[in-house]
Amino acid sequence: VDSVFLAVSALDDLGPDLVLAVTGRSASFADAQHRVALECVERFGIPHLEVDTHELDDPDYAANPSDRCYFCKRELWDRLDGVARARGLRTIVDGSNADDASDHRPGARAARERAVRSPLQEAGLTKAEIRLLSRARGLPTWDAPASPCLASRLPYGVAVTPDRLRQVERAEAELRRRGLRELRVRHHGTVARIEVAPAELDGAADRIGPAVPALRALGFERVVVDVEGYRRGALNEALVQIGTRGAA
Amino acid sequence: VTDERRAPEGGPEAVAVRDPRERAIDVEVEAVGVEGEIAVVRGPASIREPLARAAPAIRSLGFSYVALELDVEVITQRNA
Repeated sequence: VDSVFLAVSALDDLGPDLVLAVTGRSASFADAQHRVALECVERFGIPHLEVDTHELDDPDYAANPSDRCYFCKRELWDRLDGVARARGLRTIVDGSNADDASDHRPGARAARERAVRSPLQEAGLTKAEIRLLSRARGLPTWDAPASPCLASRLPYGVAVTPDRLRQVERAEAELRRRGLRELRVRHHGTVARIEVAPAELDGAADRIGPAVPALRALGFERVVVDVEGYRRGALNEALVQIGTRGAA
Repeated sequence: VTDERRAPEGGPEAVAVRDPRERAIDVEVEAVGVEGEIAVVRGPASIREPLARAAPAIRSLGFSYVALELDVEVITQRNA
């Protein structure tokens, strides 16, 4: 949502010679998101480049500490810095918004270290406002569910591996095929904990139940449904609990 | 509240069975996940709502999440 809005806004204001949208590809980036990115750059004529990022090769990232996003973003900004220098582009920007400032966002530190700007956040635009503006601009992403990287489905401390990311991605795709729209499959070892958006909780069991055998075939021995539904940053709740216990 | 953790058969997952009946929630809860962080109740979809209302009390026992393990066989039969 945010990145597409930012890219189209930049293109509208600056024109195609001064803008380059870059997509970082890795196992933590879902295929479905990749397709949306490609559709948008084609539809709106956004100059676009794809770069492979290798955060999974970084032991600091793969160990999945609570500041995992820092190591991912550091890798991404380093790649983009090389692209920007090679093409004479002066500023690297990201799609962080005003809501992100109050969230647990260790990736923001990497952005600060590399002087990456966040125009939407600097303008004070919230996610809701970006959705409204996206709708007015005719962007297909205006009502798309938020889509953080696949590694966000793994509890901190559980190693990020291509296999686990693929498990999560395929499980979520299976559930979307059955009509669920906004959901997360949280990876707890051999357990898949499904979070469904509160608005979709009624009747979700009828969609999830038949998908259980497929999720088991992906390697999850048990499939459970979080009774409280999807909550942004749910895995941070465990982090807060650990912190509280530690302080006690 | 009983809190007798035991190693499950055939797997490294920590499993504990806690009985939260002292909090007047008449369900059996199994601790599941990497560190037993999920309180899992097995049952039909119809108990999700009352379970959601009870979730804060269950989490206060030391769980991070409360989840329902659906009786898949029942759902499969109903959809057949």
